[in-house]
Amino acid sequence: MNQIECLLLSGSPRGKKSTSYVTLEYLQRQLEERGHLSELFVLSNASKDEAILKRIRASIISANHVVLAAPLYVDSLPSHVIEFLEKIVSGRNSMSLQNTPKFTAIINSGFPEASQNILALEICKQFSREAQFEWMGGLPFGGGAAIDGTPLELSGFRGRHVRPAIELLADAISNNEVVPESAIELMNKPVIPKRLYIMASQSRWKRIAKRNNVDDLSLQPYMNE
Amino acid sequence: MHILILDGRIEKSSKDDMILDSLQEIAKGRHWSIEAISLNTRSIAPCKGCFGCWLKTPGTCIINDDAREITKKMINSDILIYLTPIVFGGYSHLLKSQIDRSIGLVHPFFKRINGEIHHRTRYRKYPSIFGIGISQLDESMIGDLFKKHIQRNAINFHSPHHATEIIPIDQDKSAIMESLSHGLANLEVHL
Repeated sequence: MNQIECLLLSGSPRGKKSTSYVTLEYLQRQLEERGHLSELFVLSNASKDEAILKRIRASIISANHVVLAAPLYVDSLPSHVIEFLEKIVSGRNSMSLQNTPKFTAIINSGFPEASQNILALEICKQFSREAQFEWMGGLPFGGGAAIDGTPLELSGFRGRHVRPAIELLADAISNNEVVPESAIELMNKPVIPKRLYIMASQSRWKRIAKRNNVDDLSLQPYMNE
Repeated sequence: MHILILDGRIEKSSKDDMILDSLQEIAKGRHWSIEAISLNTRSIAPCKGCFGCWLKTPGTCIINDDAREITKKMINSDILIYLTPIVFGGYSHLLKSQIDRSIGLVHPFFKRINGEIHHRTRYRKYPSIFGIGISQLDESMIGDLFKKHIQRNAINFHSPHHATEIIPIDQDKSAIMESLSHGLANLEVHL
């Protein structure tokens, strides 16, 4: 089996304390166990630091496989991720291409239904076409807020579906295969029943609001009189 | 009736004003008020994902830049027009920045809409959305993705109605007018 060079890109603006980042960290360890190399970057750092963007661009040239993990923002990718992907397409269109890396996307959201991430994955697929990458499929990750930046090895019950799904993804990357249906099925399994997910989310919001000394979550500051 | 145009075009050519001119003309004919905001001239930082607009300063983004003023205009409009080049089937990063920064317009708590979980309303009334996607690639799949994007956003934004028109980048004025009139007529019939 040939050693694969992977480029892992985290699209959450929350940096290392995000579901996107810890998912890629777990994937990175799985890839290392299988004898492959990987680099992991936080894209919001590339937005602020041209040197990081240059390093990512250089890594794309040598990468066999690129994996983007990002949160769902209003049905799509966060704006800084879109801007980054536009720069990648522009860069690849302006030079003679030497490689066609494989590309996989993992989209996680605070909604419990993985299906709400499908549009964002379709957008990633379209990016892949325009960047002349080879689309290898996507993983929609519903209820990702349950992970909330906890390393997957420590996420216990909450991570019981995403851990084996990422292990299956690492196997697929090793074998140059598309994202397996078995991984998608695992990600589609609810972390907890929907009704409990709603209750747990709302309890969490209330706890955080209380810590912030906020009594009323329903303010309407922009109502015109 | 008040129309707010969020113009997410990054660069504009002389042809581009045909779209804004046409929208102004249509609004004038209907005695609607209309305002266009060129997002490339505004200071709108990307969303930090901090949930401050839900849990620290409910309804208001903690970042104090132009996004606050634009968000207030959004909720106080009747029709919200998303004017944007179609980027990978979605919005330009400029338009997406503003939309990401406006999630304080909905409440953090969830509700079911047609069996799916979405954030519930913060305000009593939300604008309808008219998506105008400028297409550089001649592929119907891209237009379909954009339409789906507008449809999904309309659900999450509790818009009573939505419409989408795809305008090829080399479209002439009369065809642009026809597309825009068609899109607005689809909304007008419900309003």
